[in-house]
Amino acid sequence: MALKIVKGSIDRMFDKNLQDLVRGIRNHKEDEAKYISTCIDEIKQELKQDNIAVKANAVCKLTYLQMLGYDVSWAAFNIVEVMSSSKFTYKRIGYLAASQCFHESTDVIMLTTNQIRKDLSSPNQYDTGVALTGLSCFVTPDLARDLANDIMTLMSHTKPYIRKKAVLIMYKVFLKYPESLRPAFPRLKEKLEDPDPGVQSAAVNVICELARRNPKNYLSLAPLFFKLMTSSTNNWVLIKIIKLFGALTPLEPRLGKKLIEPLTNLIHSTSAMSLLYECVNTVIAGQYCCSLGSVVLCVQKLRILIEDSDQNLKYLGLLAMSKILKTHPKSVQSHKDLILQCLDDKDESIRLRALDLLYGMVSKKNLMEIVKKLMLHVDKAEGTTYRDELLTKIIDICCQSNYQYITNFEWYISILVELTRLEGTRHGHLIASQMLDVAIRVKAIRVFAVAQMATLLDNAHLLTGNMQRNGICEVLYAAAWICGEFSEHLENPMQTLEAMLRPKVATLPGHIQAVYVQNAAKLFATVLKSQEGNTDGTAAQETSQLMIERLPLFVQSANLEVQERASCILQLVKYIQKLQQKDVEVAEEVSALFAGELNPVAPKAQKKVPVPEGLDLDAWINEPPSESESEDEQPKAIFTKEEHKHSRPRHTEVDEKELAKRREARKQEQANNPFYIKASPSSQKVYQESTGVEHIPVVQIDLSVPLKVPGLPMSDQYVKLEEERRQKQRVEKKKKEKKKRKEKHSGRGKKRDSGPESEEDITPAHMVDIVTEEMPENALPIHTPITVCDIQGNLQDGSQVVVSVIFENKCDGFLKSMEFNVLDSLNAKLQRPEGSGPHDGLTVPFQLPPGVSNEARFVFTVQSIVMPQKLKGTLTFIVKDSSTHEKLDFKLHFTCTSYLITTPCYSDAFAKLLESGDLKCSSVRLEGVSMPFHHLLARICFHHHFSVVERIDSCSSMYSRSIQGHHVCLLVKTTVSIDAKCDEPTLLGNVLDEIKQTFSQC
Amino acid sequence: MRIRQGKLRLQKWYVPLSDKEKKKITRELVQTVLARKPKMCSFLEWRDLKVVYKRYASLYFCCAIEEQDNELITLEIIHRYVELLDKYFGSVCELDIIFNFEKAYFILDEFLLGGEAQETSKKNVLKAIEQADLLQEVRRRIRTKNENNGVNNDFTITKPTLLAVRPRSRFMTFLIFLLLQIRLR
Repeated sequence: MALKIVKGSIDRMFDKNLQDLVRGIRNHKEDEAKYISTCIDEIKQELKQDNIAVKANAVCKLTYLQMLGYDVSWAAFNIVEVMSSSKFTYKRIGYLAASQCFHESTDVIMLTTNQIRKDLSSPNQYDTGVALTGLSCFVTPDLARDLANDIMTLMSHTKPYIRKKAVLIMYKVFLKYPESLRPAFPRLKEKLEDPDPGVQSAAVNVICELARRNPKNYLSLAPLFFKLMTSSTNNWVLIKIIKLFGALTPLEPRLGKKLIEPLTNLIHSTSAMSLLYECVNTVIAGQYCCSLGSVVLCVQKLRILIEDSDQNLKYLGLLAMSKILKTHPKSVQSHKDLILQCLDDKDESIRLRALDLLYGMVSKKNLMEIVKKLMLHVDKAEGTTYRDELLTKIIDICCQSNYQYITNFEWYISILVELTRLEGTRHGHLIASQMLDVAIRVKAIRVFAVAQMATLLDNAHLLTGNMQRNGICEVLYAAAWICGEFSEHLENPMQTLEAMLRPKVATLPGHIQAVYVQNAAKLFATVLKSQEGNTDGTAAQETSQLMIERLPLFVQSANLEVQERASCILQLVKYIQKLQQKDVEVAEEVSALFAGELNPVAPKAQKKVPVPEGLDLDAWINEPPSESESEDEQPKAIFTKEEHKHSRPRHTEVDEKELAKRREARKQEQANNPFYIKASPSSQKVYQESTGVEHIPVVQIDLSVPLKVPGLPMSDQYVKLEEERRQKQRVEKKKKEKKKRKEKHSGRGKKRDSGPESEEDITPAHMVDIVTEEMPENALPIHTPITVCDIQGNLQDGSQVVVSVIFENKCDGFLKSMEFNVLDSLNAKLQRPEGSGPHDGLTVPFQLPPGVSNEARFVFTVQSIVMPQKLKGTLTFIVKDSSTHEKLDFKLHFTCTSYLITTPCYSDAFAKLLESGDLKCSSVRLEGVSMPFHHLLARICFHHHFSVVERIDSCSSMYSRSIQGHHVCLLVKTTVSIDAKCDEPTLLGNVLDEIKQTFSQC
Repeated sequence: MRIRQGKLRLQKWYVPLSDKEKKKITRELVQTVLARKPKMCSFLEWRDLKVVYKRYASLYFCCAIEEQDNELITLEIIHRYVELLDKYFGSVCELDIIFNFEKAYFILDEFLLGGEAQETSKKNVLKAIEQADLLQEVRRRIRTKNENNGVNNDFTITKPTLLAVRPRSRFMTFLIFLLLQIRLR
């Protein structure tokens, strides 16, 4: 036995150890691979020996080779052997090799479980330590499951050295085996208050990392961490805690207020830049921004960082600055000088950061100055990457927010032209698209743009000089198009035409040639026109001759597009020439080919085109592909479940979510479509912000003005529809009135001539009818019928209702001293001027000559709006000459509908509302209604103050809001059933009853 | 002609990746870092990670960290590791790391665990290492030291070497060193 050991040691003397291997590799630079393959052979031999020392040496060498990139996975089992050696020296090497070479798919890992468990419970803390370290690198879900308990025990080990490692590795275990988190958590929490600072910091690390993944489970620890944060002086721990709070604050906004003080203290006091940077970052990222002071402090500190000579601090300062820029552009803008300085920095990555910042700093005033500075940099810049970056930034800066900051487009065009002089840029197409965009959209600039483009075309050889790097020749595309399209502005079209037909053009890329050919034809038309106008035919004929001579070059082009266009135009010109030879004037006809001006289209233009009757834009043209159907979320039942039973095939049943999605997609598409002018930023903002109900733009409805609700086009359309209908209806009412005098009527101030009969007869102005009491037999022959034309809630005050009353004098006498009085109920009271008693009447502020009507408004205070109610009232007046008081009784009917206010609602907000689950639902069926669906909708809109949120062919969702803020949502289906939801069931019930009544009357 | 290419001296990965991926990442990263000019700042954005590197003589130490991690503290970690190496080997040079690469790993493992700093006190790290070393065979250590001394003069270190520490993926939130690379001519 002893002999064997001695023999083993002697063997080892002859083996290569690691140092020999390294040296060998360095001495065999020329044939490294060959040398290593012999080494590997040797190692294989060594691994076959029984001696563990030899094996360990071999494994050590293998670890080195692994790092050099050689495959050693074949030795995995030998590594396990060395790991299980009882000697620490070898064990250490074994674990090191394992941690470097093993990964999850290494199958021998499962053999190690028991060995690792043994090592973990070893009395020697370094055995345990080495096992933990190794495990941290190659832990698999299986290992994590089997060893979780052992490691958990180690968290309470007597030695802090082990506790610390065990705590840290628990995080790895949690990741691989999440079930272990629950049992281990209490112990982990205990470790936050461990006497050893290393263990404590390890526990902070682990919890911080866990919290970053799933913050809401760790909110309860906030007070503990807050204590740690204010007491700890260890920067490593502080950074982690601040990170943790950064993850928690979005969930608990109150934390932000509490943290702002310690954070600002730290910012003021700390000398550690890493901690300062962490604090600043957290303040920026968190919603602490409520306090402007802290932002200003951060910006100040960042300024110090940026001014520092250390490149690293400069870089990070700029990086953090760009984050502030997003939320507080103003506070960053004051440091423009500093950021412009950074553009001169020798470090490219710092310059790029500064460029990012510039984007947000421009204003109308400083745009030119900044761009001028950037242009200088473009000239100086070495390396195309940075220069290209500059170029895109210049364009980005200029065209941001729809050219918001550009005051002078001539200047911008010249900048673009200057940029074309950049050699070898990749961004030719970007410049080109800007040129096109500006020339098309800014009419006033066209003369200037055309002149510039003509020069470009003339000097095209300068741009295309080097065909290898011809990215820039894309601008010729734009130049040719602009010159052609706006050729009437050209000073010397003939010269430009010639420039466009030079033989050199044939070397340009096909798509540019195609544009050349097409626009040469446009130019030709312009030239003809001018030449025919002032001279004899020869000049014009010469022009045609020029075309005929030059075009064949393009007819031979390999590019089909060029070929096709060229041959077409060539034939055309030949024909024109024939006509010219017969002295026929052709210019008019030729230019007719290109007549008509291109105009930009506003994004909303499509909405102005009425949708033809019977066309449903949301219906599928083809059945949707089946895969996408399975991918789509099943639409949520927003009303009752019964909806699904009734609903038709899948494609017609589109809910709000889906529609919102589609609208979003459409918007996206429009944004990418160059033919849409992007909406101005302000209107976009409105769209984005209108996510919650509280953001719904509310429009006060003024009765003297026709209803007009800005907002959704859909609802707009309906409002218009109603408007028309209302007018028609008024006309009809007027007619009826003539027949039935003394009866109630409806009417508004405006008189209208009789219009076309409306096909659907909408009953008089909705909810309120005044019932004039039966007249006594001997009463005055003709009375003053009064009509309440509208009862409208007051939006500003949830308890106010305005009643507009129209008084019409139908008798022959002059009416004066009219007094309007209502018997107050508990719930509703007439608002009387101060100082008057509760039963006093209100004087109507006008007198009525015979046959005249006028309108007065009265304000009522209402407590509860969930129930309809009737108020009794009297009108007293004096008929002139008779000087007796006359009295007229009436009833005022406050329906629940009158408490609703037409409020537009965006479908996303609507969907949110329905999802919120606060609403009670109810439904109603309308019997015997046989009107077109859109009439039905219009009626509900009109009579019951709803607005259409979304209309799909078979159903429509509608929304309204009560003066006290109840939301009322309807889903009306073509089956004439209405599902409704409201946060106030009584109100809803009454509204539905009223709707039902409306439709039963017709 | 010598190829201007970094050689790996140490690497440590704190995320499980296949060898192929590791190689690819290493190659890309070495190229990117070596392409940086000396006066440039120590941070760069690379894929969805941030790379923090620092050059000490001929060695580059580099670390890939995640988006939310703190660059400056990472720089501090690198520096601290270099200090540890320095204390342990006694003014460390590249050859110390080459010939005792396992020691360099042991120190790293005492300093960081699972990508997270486990011991911020230099003294404690060194104490742990020394005590663990005591358990090793004495003979082996002496032999190593002697041979090192003999070899040192054979090589002059002229070219920068890269020692890089590599990223954690989004699966591993524990910070910092994923791979250590060193380079020599």
